[in-house]
Amino acid sequence: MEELVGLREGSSGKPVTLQELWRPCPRIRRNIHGALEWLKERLFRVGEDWYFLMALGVLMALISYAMNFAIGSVVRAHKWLYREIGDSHLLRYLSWTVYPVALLSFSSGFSQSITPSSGGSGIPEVKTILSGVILEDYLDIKNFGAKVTGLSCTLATGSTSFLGKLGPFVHLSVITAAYLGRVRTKIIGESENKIKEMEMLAAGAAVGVATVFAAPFSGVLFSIEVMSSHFSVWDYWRGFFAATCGAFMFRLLAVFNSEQETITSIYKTSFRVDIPFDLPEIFFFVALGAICGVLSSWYNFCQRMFLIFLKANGFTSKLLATSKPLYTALAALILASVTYPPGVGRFMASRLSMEEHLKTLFDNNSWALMTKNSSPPWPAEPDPQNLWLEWCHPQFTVFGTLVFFLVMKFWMLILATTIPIPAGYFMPIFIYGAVIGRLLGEFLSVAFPEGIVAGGDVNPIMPGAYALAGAAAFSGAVTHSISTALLAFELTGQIVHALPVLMAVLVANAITQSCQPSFYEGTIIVKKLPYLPWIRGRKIGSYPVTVEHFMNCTLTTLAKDMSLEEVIRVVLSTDVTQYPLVETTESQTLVGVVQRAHLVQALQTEPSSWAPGQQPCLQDILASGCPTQPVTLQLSPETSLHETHNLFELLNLQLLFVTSRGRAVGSVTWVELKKAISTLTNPPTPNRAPPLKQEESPHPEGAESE
Amino acid sequence: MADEKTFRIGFIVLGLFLLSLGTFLMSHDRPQVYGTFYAMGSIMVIGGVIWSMCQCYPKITFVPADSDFQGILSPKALSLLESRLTEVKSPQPPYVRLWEEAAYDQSLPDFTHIQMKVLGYREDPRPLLAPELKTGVSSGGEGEPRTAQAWMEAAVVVHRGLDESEVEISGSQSSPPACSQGSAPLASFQDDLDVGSSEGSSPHPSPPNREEPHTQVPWASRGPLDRFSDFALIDDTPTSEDMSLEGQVPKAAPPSKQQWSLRMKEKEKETIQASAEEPEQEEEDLYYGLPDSPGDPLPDKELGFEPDVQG
Repeated sequence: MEELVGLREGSSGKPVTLQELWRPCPRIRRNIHGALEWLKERLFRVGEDWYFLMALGVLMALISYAMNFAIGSVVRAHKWLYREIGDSHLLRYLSWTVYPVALLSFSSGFSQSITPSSGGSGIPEVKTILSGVILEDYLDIKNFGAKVTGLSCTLATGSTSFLGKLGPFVHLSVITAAYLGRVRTKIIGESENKIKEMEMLAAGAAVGVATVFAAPFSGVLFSIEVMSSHFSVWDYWRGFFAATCGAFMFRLLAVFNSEQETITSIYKTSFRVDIPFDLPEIFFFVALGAICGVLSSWYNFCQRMFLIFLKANGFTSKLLATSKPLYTALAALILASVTYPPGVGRFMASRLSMEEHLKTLFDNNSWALMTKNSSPPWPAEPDPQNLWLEWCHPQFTVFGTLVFFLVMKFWMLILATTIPIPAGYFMPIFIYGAVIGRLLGEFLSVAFPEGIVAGGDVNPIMPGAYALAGAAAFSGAVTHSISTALLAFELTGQIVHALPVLMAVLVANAITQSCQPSFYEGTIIVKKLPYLPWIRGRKIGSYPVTVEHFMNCTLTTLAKDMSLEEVIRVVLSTDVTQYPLVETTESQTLVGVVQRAHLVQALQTEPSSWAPGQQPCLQDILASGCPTQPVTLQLSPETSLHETHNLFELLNLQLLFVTSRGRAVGSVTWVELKKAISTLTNPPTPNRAPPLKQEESPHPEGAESE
Repeated sequence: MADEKTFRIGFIVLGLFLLSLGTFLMSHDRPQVYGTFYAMGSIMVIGGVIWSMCQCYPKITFVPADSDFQGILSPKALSLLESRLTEVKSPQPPYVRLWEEAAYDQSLPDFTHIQMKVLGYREDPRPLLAPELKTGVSSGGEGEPRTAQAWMEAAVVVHRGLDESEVEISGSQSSPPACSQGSAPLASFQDDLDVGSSEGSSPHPSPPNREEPHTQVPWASRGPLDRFSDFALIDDTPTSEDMSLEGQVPKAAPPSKQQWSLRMKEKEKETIQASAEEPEQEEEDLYYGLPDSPGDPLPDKELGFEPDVQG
């Protein structure tokens, strides 16, 4: 609205907006404007994007650190309460369970009340958005507050709920990236550019992962693998720059807070560096990868089935629909009761937080060997020097504890993933994989107490290395990504185990990707988001699908030889933004596109210069100054669904016309693509006339799995 | 615009966040750390607050100049208005147009002028282009009492609109029929204004927006004019030669007028929304150094940089 311009009398120069002229303190304002303009000139010489990327990284690092700080304080308070509450079992049980129940219910209620789409991990939705689909209101700034609060409350429950930070933080980062993109558009003063917006969002996704773990490399690579379907090298540079700024700031804040002396890795390990492992151990690493692959397929399958069951079951679906906090409270009660330390939690090391879990699991000593003869007593509180003692039980031994952990956390984690709260699901599966690896490592260290290569130097087996490999392999298999290997190295600063860990991750991925869709794709499938997954050269039902199966055949075209009355009737009876322009009504040869607004304006300004009695047709209107755009990209009815989807993604299109031998026969927008996709994932029953052919696979999960 | 408001608020919130983070990072052997955070946080908070406060503009009423101004109307205004049109989804109260009619109705007393000021248009300066619109509007032949009544209604609507949300305004809006006649587009303007390619080239994906663009242009030309309804009261001598051109009634079918008028309301709604976001204006500073003669363009003010307000 500031566009109303005016000119000062006697002054030259371009007209300025009247608002500008009428503001108070005009001289100061002018000086400030001039100074800002000069600053902008100087700074933005290298391109303005870099400043915003740096701002994005720094901002997300600040937010991540602040959240960790706040959560740490709350957790310390809870620990203090649990300690001070005395010996009464009831009181201790209450203090252990009421805390997560209250926090999770609040998190669920608060975030759901602000925006219903704030629950769960945000990664499936970010994945959909980055593929070009516009999910309205998903990147609204008001989601930001809801998710930050919800996520903080979720994380404050610690290992009771066994949830992480990654997914919602990526969502937060993408929201911030969208916001900064708008700031950038306003400062630069150019018009909205969809490509630039997408670039900013992609960088935001990379920054989100990087600032959670303070790991720029794996952050960028993980975001590429999991969230993008295509990634240009330009985005790669920007993502790295923003992620590095974020990771650096994140570690710097830890130094500022006197937690550490300098910038180091988060989980320090003390593995042997000179001979980290013996050569035959590689076989065991690969076997570990295979085990993780099988377990992760099983996990993905169960998790998806449980989600579907929850939606199908009358009671739970009603409960989830009407009162999400109640469901959250019930689930939290179950989880907290199981992890109650004097009870069952004793066998699951439930007094450790998530970070302490990882720290103990990456321990370089072999617990089995250390506790073979003696069994240390269970301390009243976790001993900070010997946290690993939590895993030792006199009767069950370390193996029993680890196995029990695996069994119980499997269903507890699946239950926790169904709670409608903002929570990340990466860290729990990372820890779960570390436990698998640790179990195998302990087993091997008992089987080969002197190391595998007998004779020569004694190189005992380090279960911690197996835990590292297991963590990377399991989490990589669940999310269908290989960059978790790099993440494991960046988290621990330990790259000597690069090759075995990478091999384990590859094997695990190979097994899982042939069986099940990834965790996030499972969520996409269950939520029916309009995302078309990448499909390998398998016999899947989507390749034969061509444009003519799903295009919108009801196309209102405007022919150049249509009379004006007809044109007006068509314009008034439909409300599309642009009309395909065809040559004649019979030939329907597509020649261009006319915008509705232009057409309406042209219709209104009919000059009276036409001879009376002459029948004006659309051609005359167009000739008298209604601009038309040529059609530069068309689809053919034989174009496949994948090609169409690729085009829409890569070029950020919203509408394409379909022509057959020049004739305009239909149009394709995201609506039609989405409908085609959902019909593929959930084929209609044969009773109804299916729009697609019947050779689609009847198993949606299997069909969509890679 | 709404975006700028979120930017201002975000700026202040970010400053507060930095301040709180600096408080937590307080460590006595590293004062430069929390000093930096405090400094940046306070700068951002103070800057944001000053920026927000400077968004209050004086109430402006001022005499439109001659018709030379018409050509200067920037095409960006049109694109901006068009984009506004697509954003708004609910019908707008027709108070502006009714005010124009009322303003042109000589039978109405002068207190309408004051009334409008009280209820207040904010930072919309109203140059010259109002007259044409009013004549075109009044040529629709609205009845006098209906106009007055609608105007009374509109006054209430505006007041609420400035304070409350859009939803309530759409609820209170009850006089759509009054706008039906006002659809006489300004043929003179459309010659002047460059409407060319300023419409959004990318089609909007969401279906409700599709209704808007089809009336963007005629109402876009009216848009800047509608805000200048105040000046109609001051300027009693409309450029009649422009008026005569308004006599043309478009050849579009009559039902479309209804649609178009509704669209216009939505655009007005947007204008009011945008103005509503600015703080309420005190009314003493009505004339910011305004010259006396109507033909004079803007008084001696700064020729600042044209702000980057893009559609």
